[in-house]
Amino acid sequence: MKRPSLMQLSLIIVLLALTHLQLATPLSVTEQWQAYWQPQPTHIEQIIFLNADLPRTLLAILLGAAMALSGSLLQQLTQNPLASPMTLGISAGAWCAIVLGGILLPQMPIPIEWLAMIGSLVALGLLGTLAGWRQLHSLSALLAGTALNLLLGSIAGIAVMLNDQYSRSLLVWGAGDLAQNDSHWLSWVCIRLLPALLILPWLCRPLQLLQLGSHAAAAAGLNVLRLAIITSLLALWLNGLAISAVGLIGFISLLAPALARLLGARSPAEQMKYSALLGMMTLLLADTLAMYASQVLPDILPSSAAAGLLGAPLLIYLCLRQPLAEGGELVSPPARSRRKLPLLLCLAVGVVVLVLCAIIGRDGMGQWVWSWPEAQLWSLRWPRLLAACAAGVGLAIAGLILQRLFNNPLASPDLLGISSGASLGMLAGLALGASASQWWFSAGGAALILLLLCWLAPRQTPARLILLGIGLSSLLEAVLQFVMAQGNNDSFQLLNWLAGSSYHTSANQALLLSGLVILLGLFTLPASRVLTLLLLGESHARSNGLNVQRTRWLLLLLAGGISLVISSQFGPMAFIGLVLPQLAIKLGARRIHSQLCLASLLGAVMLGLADLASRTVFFPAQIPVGALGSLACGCLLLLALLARSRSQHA
Amino acid sequence: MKHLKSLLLCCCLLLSTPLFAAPKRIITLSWEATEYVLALGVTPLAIADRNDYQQWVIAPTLPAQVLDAGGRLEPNLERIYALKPDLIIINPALAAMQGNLQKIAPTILLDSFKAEHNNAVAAEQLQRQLAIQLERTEQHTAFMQQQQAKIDDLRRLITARYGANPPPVCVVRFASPTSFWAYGENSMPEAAMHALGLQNACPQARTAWGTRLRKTPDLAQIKQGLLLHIAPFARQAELFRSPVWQALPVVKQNAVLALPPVWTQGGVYSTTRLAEVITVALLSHQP
Amino acid sequence: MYQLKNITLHRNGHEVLHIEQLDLPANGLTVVLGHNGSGKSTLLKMLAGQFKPDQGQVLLNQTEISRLAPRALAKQVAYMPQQIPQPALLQVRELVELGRFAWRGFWQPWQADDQQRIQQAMQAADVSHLAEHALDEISGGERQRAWLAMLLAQNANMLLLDEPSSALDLAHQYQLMTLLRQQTEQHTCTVIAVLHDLNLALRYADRILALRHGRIWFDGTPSELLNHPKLDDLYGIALDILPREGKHPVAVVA
Repeated sequence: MKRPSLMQLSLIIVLLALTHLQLATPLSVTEQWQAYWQPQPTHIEQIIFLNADLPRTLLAILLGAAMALSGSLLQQLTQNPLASPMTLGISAGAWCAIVLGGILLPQMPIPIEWLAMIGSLVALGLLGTLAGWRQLHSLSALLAGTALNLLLGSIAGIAVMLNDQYSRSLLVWGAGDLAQNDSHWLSWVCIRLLPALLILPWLCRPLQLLQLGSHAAAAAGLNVLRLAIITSLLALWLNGLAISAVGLIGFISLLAPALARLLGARSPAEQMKYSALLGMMTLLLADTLAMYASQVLPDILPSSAAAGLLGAPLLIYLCLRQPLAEGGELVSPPARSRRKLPLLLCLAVGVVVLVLCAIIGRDGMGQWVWSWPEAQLWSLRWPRLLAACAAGVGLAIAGLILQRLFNNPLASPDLLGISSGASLGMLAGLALGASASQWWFSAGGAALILLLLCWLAPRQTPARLILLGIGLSSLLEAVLQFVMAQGNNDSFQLLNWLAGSSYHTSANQALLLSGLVILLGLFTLPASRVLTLLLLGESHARSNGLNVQRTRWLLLLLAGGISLVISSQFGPMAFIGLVLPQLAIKLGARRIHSQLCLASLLGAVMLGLADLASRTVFFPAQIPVGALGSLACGCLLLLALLARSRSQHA
Repeated sequence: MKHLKSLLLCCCLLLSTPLFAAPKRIITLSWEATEYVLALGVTPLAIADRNDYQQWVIAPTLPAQVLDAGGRLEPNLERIYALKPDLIIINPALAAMQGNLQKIAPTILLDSFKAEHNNAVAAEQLQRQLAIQLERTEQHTAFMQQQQAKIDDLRRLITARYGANPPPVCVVRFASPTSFWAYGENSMPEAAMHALGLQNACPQARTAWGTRLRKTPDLAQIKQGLLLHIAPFARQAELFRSPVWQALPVVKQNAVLALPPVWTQGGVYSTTRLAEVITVALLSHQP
Repeated sequence: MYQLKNITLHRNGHEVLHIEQLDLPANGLTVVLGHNGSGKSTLLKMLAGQFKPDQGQVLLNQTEISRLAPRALAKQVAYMPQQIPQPALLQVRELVELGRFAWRGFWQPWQADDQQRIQQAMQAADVSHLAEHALDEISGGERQRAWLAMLLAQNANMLLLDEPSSALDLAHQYQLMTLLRQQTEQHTCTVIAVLHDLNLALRYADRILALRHGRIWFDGTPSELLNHPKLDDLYGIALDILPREGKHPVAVVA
């Protein structure tokens, strides 16, 4: 295919912009032209055209370029074709900071773009520590990014839920819509964007050098660290501007650079030029679609959801055909201690903690109580405690299986796309008028994805399967934005469900859940030799006589089954399945059996404590146990990582 | 002495038996139910999202001793249990929890907002049903008469000011400078308008709650009538300085008025209160 | 034991392997030589059943290799890749135990026989003293030997080794080759190894197979290779053969 020239692309953009304008306003092209030159427009249509429609089109063009450049810079810096502020969790960080800033510090006049910048930087820092700064080119970066997305999303979700009446308008704004009332944001963006763009020409040659890899580039005389800092700050700034101005619009930053490469852009300068133009094009196209849909549908379709619906299938396609380094550095290498792990002692401590979780509570006036609950109170307490513990055990087991199957310490059940499937199923249920506790919708959605995974498992490499999960969770994000944008009661029910709550668990459900988790967990025991063998990597396990295809299929079915059981009841629970197996290793459980036992025990204790905290800390309000669990696990992981980097420096 | 003791015991038993007594210790887990109960002159033991209620619903005022029962989506079962209620009232958001709540105390579900019925009519019926259960039918009748009298007063005031043809009104709540929730068919503000004999200047198709998210330029379709927006709106300055806002016919006609914070998803009481604030706004309007 | 017929293999539009006919009988130590990119590793991977050729057949004892179940194949063929992973969670003994997977599968517990073979394999590969060390604690050479111990424990009669001596010091290189020779002589076990060191090959091999641009360029004994008229073509550089009295001749770059 012959590569279209920049001129041709620009022409397409002009045409798209005209279509966009034409759809927005009832004025004909000549009237638009007249309105533009009229010194004092009087007619309401003219004023709306000049102050709402024209700024919207121009803003779409500017921000499309900004987002695309941000993605392109990150991809060139990390050498990762699927990197973008969205997939790396940076946008989620910015959004989380804006939400927290708005709710916690409403009096403090911190400019919104600085909040976004702080949030992005924190997210980038987390990503680097989590995946390892040298692994950003690999799959690990995407896994860490997706985990961060879930974690930061649930933090923002908690904040929103604790302030639900106030947050309704925050949701509408955060859903990402380009609609404008005046040229305020247009000039706001112009002032902050154009100076930043002036840096770009200086970055071309160093970025080209970086294509050799950071070591070779450093050997050729490049200050890699300085380049990395400047480039990432620039990328975060561009993305932060877009988020501050119009909320979260995710896909452009990933798609435009990918399309630019598909069109054959090679050098950094070409990639940036083509990305910018394609970014303008895609955002204009998405916004045109959003405007058209909002005119036809009874509800407003935000631009971000339109971009997501356009982009998600393309993302899944890209995921499935993109070659990507797998990366494999362990998050936390095992402790070097050779002493035996006192499993029995751990078990005893665990049981004591769980008993404490069962007996601590607060009475009607909010006083702390510490006694064995009466029968009726107990019947209210045990189902959710049991369900939470079972979920912890299940997530630990599923995480352990997946980490060994994919030979990647960042793999975890919430990245498989099964919990996204559950959430999509729940969305469909809500759309059909069911209430959020009807688990069969979520179970159906999850089962569909599990079937798809099992069908793909023998045909695709593990890395692709994970990428597919990531693609699916992005698709979910797009649909969610549409629902959230309505800012009504359904949105809140969904947010609540997405935070992973054990609240609605009935006694029977709790028993069923724990029974299923134990049953599936028992299936793991005979697989333990295979799980050890998989540590050698798939191809080596094959030469040792393992039927890799069938094993992959079976293990995926096992982990997916556990994930399905849990996510259909609780919704997505991020981070827990990722952290627990690693934590068990950190505590010295190296062999498969002790890792399995310790991780399950940790899971039960961790979520038991989370359940206790969810009941009592914000009494009488409750925080969903999943969100608390993810938060606690996230903090633990961070502590472990920080401890590691300190010991490496020492 | 022995007789006195057994007599006392009998009295205690009689007093404590809930068999024939109307429920006294009530916990309401939705705001519309809270309003019904307060309108009947009953003080609930605890309500869901107490602090938010005081900030957003405001009236009917909540007595200080009412406790917080936790969030509306996930009320705290253990506190509810500890308070030993004899009646719990929920809405469909908690339908799945009815079984669990039933273990604590009799639980009734009031489905106030549906696309299938007229929300305003349903609110009256549900409150009446509740009054029968609480044995407070007299209070209910008195309350309804009082509300009707208020509405009649308000109508008279409007007729006195505008005659037979009062201007149509449009009630909105802004979500962002570019979008707002419009209150259309089956919404409480529209019910209040109809009670006052007013026309809705921005009609919307029927939904469960009667609200729909719209774009600011859509307000240009209001050629005549009053635009009433419900305060508070944090980014009001941003909206009001924009040229599109200033070019809107209603703004040019100086026909925009702010309503004080008022709850739009309540029952009969809230509807009357809406009618009140709408009337006050109409009367204060200087064309 | 192996029979290859009309093999062609393409990667990214280039022909990387083209072998019309090749028989590899079940005895002796065969060394595969060749320049970079000549297809040595590809050939070995194909023999190990890691992938199928685009065309042609790879027969192991008259059976198409892709038809064999993985465990059945692993009982006959053990393969050591060029780059061996270093999973931090495994200790050397556990790695060697994994060699017995082919024989015991998922469920069956290790028997006394297994334990004995594991001990022997660790002694033979000189890693007994490392049994309790994790794989990422030991050096590259020690890891290569640990891996070899796993292959020996696998008890297959065909060992495929892709540059087994790349991370070994001089002494261990010769020790390894001596060990492999012993294996071929004692256990009727066949070894096919890819090597870069021409002298190592000349000294230990029974048969040398040299590839050039994916085709068999030479197939014969070490002495035949030394007398090959176009030996310089093998690596594209002139070589001198220095005969030594009573010892193996050595090849040096001219």
